[in-house]
Amino acid sequence: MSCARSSTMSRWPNPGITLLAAILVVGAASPARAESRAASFDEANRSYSEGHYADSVADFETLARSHGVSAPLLYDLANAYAQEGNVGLSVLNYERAQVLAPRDPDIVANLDYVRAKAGLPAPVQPWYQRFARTFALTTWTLFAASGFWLACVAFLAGRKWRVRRLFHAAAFAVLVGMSAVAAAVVLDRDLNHAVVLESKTAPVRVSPFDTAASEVALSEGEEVSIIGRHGDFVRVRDGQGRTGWVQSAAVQFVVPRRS
Amino acid sequence: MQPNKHDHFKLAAVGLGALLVLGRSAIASGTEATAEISPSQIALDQAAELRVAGADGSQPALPHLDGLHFQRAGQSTEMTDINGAMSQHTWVLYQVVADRPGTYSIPVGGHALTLKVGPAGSGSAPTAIGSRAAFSSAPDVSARQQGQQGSLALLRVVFPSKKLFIGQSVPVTFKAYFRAGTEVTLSGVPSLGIPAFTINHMEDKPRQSVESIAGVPYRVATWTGQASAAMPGHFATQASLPIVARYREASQRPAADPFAGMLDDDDALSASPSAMIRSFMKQSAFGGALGDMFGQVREREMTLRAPVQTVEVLAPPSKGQPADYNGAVGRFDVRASLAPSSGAMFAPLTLRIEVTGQGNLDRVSIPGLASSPSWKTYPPSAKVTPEGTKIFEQAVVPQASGRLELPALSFSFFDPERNQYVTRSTTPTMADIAATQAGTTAPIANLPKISPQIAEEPTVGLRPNQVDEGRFVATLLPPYRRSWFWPIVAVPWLGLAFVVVGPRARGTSERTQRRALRETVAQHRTTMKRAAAAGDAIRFHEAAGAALRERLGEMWKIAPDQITSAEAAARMSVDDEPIVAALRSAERLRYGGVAEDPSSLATLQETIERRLDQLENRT
Repeated sequence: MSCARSSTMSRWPNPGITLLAAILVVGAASPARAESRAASFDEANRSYSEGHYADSVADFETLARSHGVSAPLLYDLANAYAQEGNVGLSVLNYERAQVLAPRDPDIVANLDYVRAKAGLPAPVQPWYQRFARTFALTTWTLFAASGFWLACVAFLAGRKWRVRRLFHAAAFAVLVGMSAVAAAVVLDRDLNHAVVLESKTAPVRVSPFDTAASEVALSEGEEVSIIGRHGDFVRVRDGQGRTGWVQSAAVQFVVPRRS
Repeated sequence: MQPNKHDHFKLAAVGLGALLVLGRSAIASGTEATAEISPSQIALDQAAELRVAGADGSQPALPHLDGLHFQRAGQSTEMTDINGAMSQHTWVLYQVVADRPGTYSIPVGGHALTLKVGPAGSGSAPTAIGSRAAFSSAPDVSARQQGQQGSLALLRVVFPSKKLFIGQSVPVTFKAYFRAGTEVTLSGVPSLGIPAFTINHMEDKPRQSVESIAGVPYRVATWTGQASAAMPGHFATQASLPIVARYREASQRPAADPFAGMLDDDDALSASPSAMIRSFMKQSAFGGALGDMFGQVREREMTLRAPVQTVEVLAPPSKGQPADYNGAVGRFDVRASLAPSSGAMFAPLTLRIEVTGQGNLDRVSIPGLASSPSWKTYPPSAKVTPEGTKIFEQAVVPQASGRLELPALSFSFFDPERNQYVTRSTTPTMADIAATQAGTTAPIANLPKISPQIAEEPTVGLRPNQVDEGRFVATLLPPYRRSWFWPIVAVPWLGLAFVVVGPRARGTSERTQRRALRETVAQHRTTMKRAAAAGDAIRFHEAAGAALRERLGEMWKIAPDQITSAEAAARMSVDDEPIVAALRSAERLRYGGVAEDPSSLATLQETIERRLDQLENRT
């Protein structure tokens, strides 16, 4: 047994060395990866500036698949879709860009422009939704988590050393955390909708079957809430409160439900 | 090149005659003679080609000019199919040579053609298409010199000059002559046979015409292209053209080989090429014997070759070479324009650079404008228009507002005619750039801040792309929808619960037990009190014993049912004798059914009540 163990141990390098090597490898690869990403981003923008919008869309989509997304990338992608006349994907990507940068004036302006040009109603936002858009959803979440962490630490420290101010700090941190949670909940509900992607109008059926009667139709780029699901259909509610069933492929969530 | 099997040259003698008749009638319908000379500028040791088409089928007379000589080189008939409408022109070809340099005016059929003749050896004009060397390989001459008059197929290459520079683009013409009656399929396009040369812009399908050489009609296929040399040195052209000839084999009729080196058989292991061609010639053109009609039809792949010419390729001189020279040879002009000429900050504009002129546009490259604090630029794209203009388009993004200048761009090339380098520059371009809203892109240092008034200006259309790539994230999912988030959030809360709530939870359990005990004892005391008042000794002692056992059990941490009077006597002192006595009375009642005197219950109740209070205080 001991022989086997020593043999096994000698086969694996020191964990510390392994970790250090992994860090060095990752660290060495990161600048090259960032440079490649920047070059791809510039190339996509160049295609856009030359009027090759289809190429630009393809480049941005490839970049998003390989390197993730950023607010400028989603915004530029939405611009390219808008130039191609694809209102649905344009609105979807503007809204996704707003998830990362809710206060960006370019995104707001172009989203309003595309909606106005397509005849889509601009959603009405009450004051608390506008306030919630002060920061991104991730920022609010991290505020809340940090607030609760600080509250715990302050409370335990105050209890151990009997310092009243630490209890006050803990209470304040809890207040901050709760406020951040409230803002995150509001923003999450605000972003918890889908966008109609159908190139034509998407029929809204009274039941989740292709043969069911269609009473109304949704416009491309329109925002809807998804309130149910059955097979390949989702039950949606539009801005006017009308509900019905549409093909699930015809709509897409602004914030994906899962990674 | 893919063999074009549709390009069959099936010219029979009858068909040729019909064509000639049609050609004459077409020319007869014309109203005016036409004439062309090419090139219009030659050296003294070169020759130009004069093509004359007479009006009304007549042949215009050539003038006698001092210092110029015209030598008839044949006749050419061109058929043109434009949208289904056939037209035909018959040209008479002359070779023009000069005795001395100068400018000559040649009046032909109402036209005055100009021919400039330079000194010998100066002939490197890029548009020259004829030379004495080239014309010396013309079918009539070469065939006559080599005793091949009446050859079935010939290849001729017209190369403009014997001396040119690397990268210089010169026109080259291939002419394949096929004797009437031959049945030939082109297997490809002609090649120059020099690896150091590339030929661009050559048609896949040749221009077809009919020429009469020494009274013999030939069907002519003509290709033109642009030849360019890639390396210096002395080279010999070995122009060739792959063909497929179809013939009837008739070996019983030996004859002289008419091709005599002009045709090579690619299949060296096959039967003798000369025998094959001999058969080919006799069957298709000059045969006709009845015995040949029973011969076997055969098809052979062959290569048609042109006489060798020598070419010297020179490298552009290193002396005086500009730093930005990148290999362009010819004569060019360059100009730049900005579209639109005005815009907004960070909105891309297009810088268009056009290069026009004579030369090899493939070697023309312009790096474009470099990025500067005022302009962010992208690498330019390039394309060549059918009109022969190379256009570079470069996206430039203004990084500041105001009237910005796009600096001049320079472009250097080597002019082979002047034998020197030339640098051309564009004129600087001005652009009016309006400021745009803040936050569009990452601001650049030293740029003026954008005023709030401008930021509130309404925008028309889509705002431009953002050029800063921003911070990338792997997913749009918020942290609380990811698996790692909640454990991190839960850790401090769990710690807090462990430190603070844990002990309190334990205390709460003890308090609950105490409260339950207190309530049980209180119930027993109430029962005891009511029994004493009613004189019920049995109930009194049962309740008193139960209350005492509950208290003692809590104090001694044992179950109340296990407590007996003997146990109590052993654990308690003499002062606690009333408690032991009460327990003993309860046991007697429980096990023996003997009750105490009811008259003493009130006194006993007070005693037990007092003792119970004492026990509660002890615990």
